[in-house]
Amino acid sequence: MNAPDTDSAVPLLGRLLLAIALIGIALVLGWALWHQANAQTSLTAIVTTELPNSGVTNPVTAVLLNFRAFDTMLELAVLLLVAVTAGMLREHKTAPSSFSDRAVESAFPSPLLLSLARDLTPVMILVSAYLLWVGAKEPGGAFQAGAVLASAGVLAHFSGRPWLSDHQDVRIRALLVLGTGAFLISALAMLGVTGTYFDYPFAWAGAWILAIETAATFSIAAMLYVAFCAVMPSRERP
Amino acid sequence: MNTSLLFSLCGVALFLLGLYVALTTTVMLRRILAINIMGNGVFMLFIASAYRRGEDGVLVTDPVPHALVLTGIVVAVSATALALTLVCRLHELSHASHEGPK
Amino acid sequence: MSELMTGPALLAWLISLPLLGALASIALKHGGRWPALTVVIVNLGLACLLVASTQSAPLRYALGGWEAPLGIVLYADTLSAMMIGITALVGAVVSWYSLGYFAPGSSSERAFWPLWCLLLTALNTLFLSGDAFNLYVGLEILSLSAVALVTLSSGLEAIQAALRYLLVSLMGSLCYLLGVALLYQAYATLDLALLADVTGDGVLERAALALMVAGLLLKTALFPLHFWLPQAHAGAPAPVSALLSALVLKATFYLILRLWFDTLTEAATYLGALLLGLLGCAAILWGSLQALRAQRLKQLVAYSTVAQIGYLFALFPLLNDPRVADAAFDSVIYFVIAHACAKGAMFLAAGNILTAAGHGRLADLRAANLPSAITLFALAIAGVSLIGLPPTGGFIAKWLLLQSALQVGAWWLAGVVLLGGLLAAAYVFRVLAVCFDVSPPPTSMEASSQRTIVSAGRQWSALILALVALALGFLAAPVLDLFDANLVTD
Repeated sequence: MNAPDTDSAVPLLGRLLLAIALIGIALVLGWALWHQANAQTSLTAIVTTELPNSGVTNPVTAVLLNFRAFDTMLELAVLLLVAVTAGMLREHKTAPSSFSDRAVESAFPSPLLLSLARDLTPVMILVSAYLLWVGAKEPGGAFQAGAVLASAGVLAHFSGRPWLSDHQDVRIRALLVLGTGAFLISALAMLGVTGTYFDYPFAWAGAWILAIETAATFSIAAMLYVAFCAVMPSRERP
Repeated sequence: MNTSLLFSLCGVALFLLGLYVALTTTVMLRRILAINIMGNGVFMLFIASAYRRGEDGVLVTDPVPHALVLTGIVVAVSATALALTLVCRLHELSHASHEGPK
Repeated sequence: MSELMTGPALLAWLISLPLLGALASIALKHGGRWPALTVVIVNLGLACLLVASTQSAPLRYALGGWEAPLGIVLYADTLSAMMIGITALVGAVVSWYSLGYFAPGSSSERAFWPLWCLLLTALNTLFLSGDAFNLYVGLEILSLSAVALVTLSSGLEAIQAALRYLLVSLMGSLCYLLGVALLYQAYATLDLALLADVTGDGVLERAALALMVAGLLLKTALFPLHFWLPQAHAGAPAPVSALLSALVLKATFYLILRLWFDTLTEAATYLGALLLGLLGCAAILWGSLQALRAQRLKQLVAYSTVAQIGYLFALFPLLNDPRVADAAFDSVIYFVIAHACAKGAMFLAAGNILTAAGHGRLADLRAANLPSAITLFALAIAGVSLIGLPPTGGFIAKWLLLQSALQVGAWWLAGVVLLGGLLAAAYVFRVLAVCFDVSPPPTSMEASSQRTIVSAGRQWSALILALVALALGFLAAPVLDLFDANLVTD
């Protein structure tokens, strides 16, 4: 930790003992798993039974957005937490004197990057929308869609036309809380409507899940982009 | 030896290899990568547990571990992002203190 | 609406409300403290409701109407209710303190409120969730928000401490998750109550328990896994140190308690409990000795936390002993709540002294640096509770511990506890001695010894926590009745 450029301060004997200990753990775990190799337990049957009540046909989406929606809400809260912290650390940063700023500031975006950004961005937005839509039936979903959308933002940033100049902007803040907020508000609304937290009424479940996923997509894209921008120098600052 | 077991054992091996590197290296970036590899080992174990043969010998895949791994990946991405942000910040601060106040 | 707020839905509210507060205070560019403060106060009310409603029977709530093993179930008995209650209480007082601590409108202040709300969300999730994977997500929110709160200090040392804390926490979470994966592999369920029914004492369960507990021990900072704690807790802003020491460590300890005595009971061996007990004893001695040697005020308080965590684990062999298990459980819960109040008060008071004096070097602190008698009073009462002298909560906890240790003839444990008390007295008096030292400060300090005014709110909040620690000494019987109401110990 003190010397960032030399590897392994642990003496050879220490590493040897650690390796032996880890091999011991590996053997114990391997043995335990070997005895469970023929375990036939799984939740497949119960998921298959309840799938028609979930509003979607992709079982993984059903688990993520309905059966274990609470997990997914907290997962978005983790992402939000990181975006907020990264934004705060960026504010602490003394703008141009830092090391990484100068390193990148000299590189002017190449024409190739500019045309790449121009041609690829619409495609990325389309792919993102497709991933979001297809998530109800096949692999895909909010996180994948959001990640593609965020990478379009990263491309824009590199080509010198960042999407956001001020991450304190109220629209960005609204986008950040949109995803977690959609989950939470719908969970609480369901508590009022059906009397059970997160219990979507069957007739609405499909549409409801798509709406939440759409909100989550925009929010995930914003959060990833803000986290990315926090460690990148901004070109627009004087 | 069946497929599920093979994947499980590989998952455990990945976890322990990551743990070894994370404990011995002093390079921050390498430590963060090692922790990610530990995480991937665990995810592999989850994926392996999704691979089951039903009573009639038909292959069934359990969707719950898939969903868990998707959640786990997002959490891991977030944690890695925070760690990298802190490393960048640390880098700036230590450079600033080396160069002295301007 | 009133029906929705009481009964089992209360459990969902206890988690949703802090999260709602976090979202509101992120969305507001200025004045993010108001939603956060509202949430903290309402949360205190809900916590009281929870303590009251778990008296008759434990509460259980299946989220989304999906029962385990498919869905996630929230569960609360009197133990969870006590933890939620103490968290709400300490959290409310620390929030009051924070109002005066952070400069309004600064970037630290604006980030503090959402992060603290997220920390509260995570704490309540960990105390209520009955799902092993959901607990993992909760653990990650807990560690990441704790790390983020440490970075509010923004100095080089604080960032270094935060990074180390983050990496250690991540390794701990992954160890825990590996244990969960092993259990899922064998039993295909994540619900703790279902796991408790099906697990036995095979190699797999033992390995899973060992991995999960080891990961949580890393986060709970039991000696010798405490190496990250002093820097992180001493480097954070004072209200954050109070939250980390008083609450965050307790949450992971609570999970260990749940896994060991509720979920994987058959896999838990006496040998393992004995090992934890010995490590606890080592932590008491090592933490106290380091606190005696500490150069800075907050470092001293942080090492004292290492020692106090030791007491919690020193009780493990007694908890495993059917003859004294009940008394030992009472002792554990009393250690947890008394330490939460006393250590919270101590860190808040230390923060006041730091602000008033402008530095935390024990050798250079003088009575003239003290903000006022209120802070001194808070420091003294909290110190007395940490030593374990009557009439404080710390005394009751230690008394119950000694009683049960002597009943089963664990003389070594009683010896360590008494020795730990003496050492605690020595380091607490190191701090108190400063407060009565009227000699002039060293000449080099003269220039920077102008007094900074510490707001009354900050002083009174420290005192209030200390007074709660004191009141716990008088109210032992009613508090323990709340806890014992329907606890199932087997």
